[in-house]
Amino acid sequence: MATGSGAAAAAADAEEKESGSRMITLTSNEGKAFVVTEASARQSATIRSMVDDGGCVDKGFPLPNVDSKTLARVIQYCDEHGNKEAHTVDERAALAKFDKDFIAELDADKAFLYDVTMAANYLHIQGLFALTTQCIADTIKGKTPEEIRTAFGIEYDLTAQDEEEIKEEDTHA
Amino acid sequence: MEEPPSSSSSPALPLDIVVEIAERSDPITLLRCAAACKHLRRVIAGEGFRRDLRLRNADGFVPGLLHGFFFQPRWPSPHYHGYNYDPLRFVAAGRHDQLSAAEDIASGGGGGGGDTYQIPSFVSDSNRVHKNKRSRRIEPVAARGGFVVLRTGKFSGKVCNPMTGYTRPIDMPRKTAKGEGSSYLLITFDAGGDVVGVGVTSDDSELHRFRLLAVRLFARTRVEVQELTPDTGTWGPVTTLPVVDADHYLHPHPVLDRESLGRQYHHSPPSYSYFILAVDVSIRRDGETGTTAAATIMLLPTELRAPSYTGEATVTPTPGQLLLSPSSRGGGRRSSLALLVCRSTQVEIWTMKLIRRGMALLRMACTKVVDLTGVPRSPCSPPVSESEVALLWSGDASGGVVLRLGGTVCLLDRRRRAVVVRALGDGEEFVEFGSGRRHVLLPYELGLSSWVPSISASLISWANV
Repeated sequence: MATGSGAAAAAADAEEKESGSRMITLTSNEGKAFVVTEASARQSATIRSMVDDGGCVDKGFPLPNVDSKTLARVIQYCDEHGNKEAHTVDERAALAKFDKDFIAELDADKAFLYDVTMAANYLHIQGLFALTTQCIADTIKGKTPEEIRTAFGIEYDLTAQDEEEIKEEDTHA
Repeated sequence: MEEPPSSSSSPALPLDIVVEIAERSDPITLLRCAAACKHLRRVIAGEGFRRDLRLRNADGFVPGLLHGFFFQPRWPSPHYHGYNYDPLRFVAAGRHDQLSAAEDIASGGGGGGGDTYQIPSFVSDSNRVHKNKRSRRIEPVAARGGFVVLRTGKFSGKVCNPMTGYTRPIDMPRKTAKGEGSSYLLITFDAGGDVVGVGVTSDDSELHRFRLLAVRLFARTRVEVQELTPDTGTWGPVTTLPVVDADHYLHPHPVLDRESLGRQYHHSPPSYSYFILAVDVSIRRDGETGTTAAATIMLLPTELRAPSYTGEATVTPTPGQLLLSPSSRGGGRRSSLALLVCRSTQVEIWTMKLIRRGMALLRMACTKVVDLTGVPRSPCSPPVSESEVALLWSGDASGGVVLRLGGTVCLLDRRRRAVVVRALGDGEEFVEFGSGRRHVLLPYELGLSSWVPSISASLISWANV
């Protein structure tokens, strides 16, 4: 994985082995610091690549796009997925149950769900992003275009021509 | 972090995330998204979107395309020689993520979702009460990419798409005494095109977005191929192909014929060995009608002829225990094949290395064994004997494999590194299987083209309801 000289690579390997115990500080846009295990932080591809590039692990990572409330929730997910094993059927079931409860709770607060989704997108946490976008996708099932605009705060910008097109397609049906 | 939404009541999401959400919804919702604003309309109708849909899952499969399965029990009639048919049902596949299928049925089954309008109307059309209960029957002969080919009579059939309401009556070759004399290969354009290299561009036919081929294998020597002309519903001229590499194990009436990616075609004789018949069905660029170029036979390795290597398996697998399936090992763009072998407690996945454009088998090996012992099943007395396990279907868009363990219908989901097997239809036991296996079970998978608004114009009407 590590690039650069052999010595640096060896050092990186050694660090890699230690990574379970290494701690990483994430700072929200409100300046609040969260200390997490590296395994937890590595759930985020964004942070992972910064760590692997030999980045500023000691200085911590400021996250100007994420507020404290959202970050706390995102870390909750990362801790569960980063620090726990998922080898046996039982362990996987426990993780699946965690995800289910996690998303059910988020689902109750749309604005917060969107914040977590955007944070997962920004931090490239694939599992979390899949979880939240799937949840949102399920909530818009069967909605009309108007309802979808409302759900996502989309501005109506279709021209008369677009509407004509849609109508045109209608008549084919 | 983001611009505050213009209306304070509703939070906003960046449109690129909305696109990702739309991808995870269902075709109808996707179309409604496409009618929401200019940007979404452009992106969803755009060239890259279909590719993204496929690539979103690293292995090239889109599990959400498998919607569920049609199920119709049939019983020997006490009054006449033949069968009585129960009403057709549709059993939803359930949600394709970690959440439970039961929840999906509660939330999606009744309220919203793309299936709400289309599939029930297909079911009720099939179930319209006639005096004769036999007329309820559906006799599927092929299905792919949202299209279903049904036999409706001795010489008649129809091609329909339950999602779009498309129906086209067609002629059907007569069945032989032992059943379908032909194997039917249905190719939808989105299943082929760039991925399989069938050589069909999606604008070849705006109206009928499929090709239907009937393939008949005659002892050892030749294959006859006919292609349906969708405009008239009649069959084109017969093309006869000599079979290359034929061995001595052929049988004129295929017991098992399942097709896989575009040009592959699978027969097995009720004899000691199995083979794969590959027919090249690509259309030549200059060809007016579909012409096929070649047919070859690939014998399966000796382990599958006399499967003694597992120790426990002492009998040759029955045709129902074998299934050809697309395998996307090595990326979504290169098609390859896998052969699944279902035992009473496990499924073996044999990966094949094909050469000469998929027309020759270089080697194959059992690369994975999926344990079935932990899978909930009814009646819950494992191990089910091998006669009670059957591989039923494999989807080349969803990547799912449907199998039956006793009375439970399961989905084998290969999209994750760990292969997951779960019960479909909320673990319901289909007791009908206890009294015979001649029931219709037809998994229903949509094609990717159903997701693209410009193609499925008829779906737009629902977008504006």
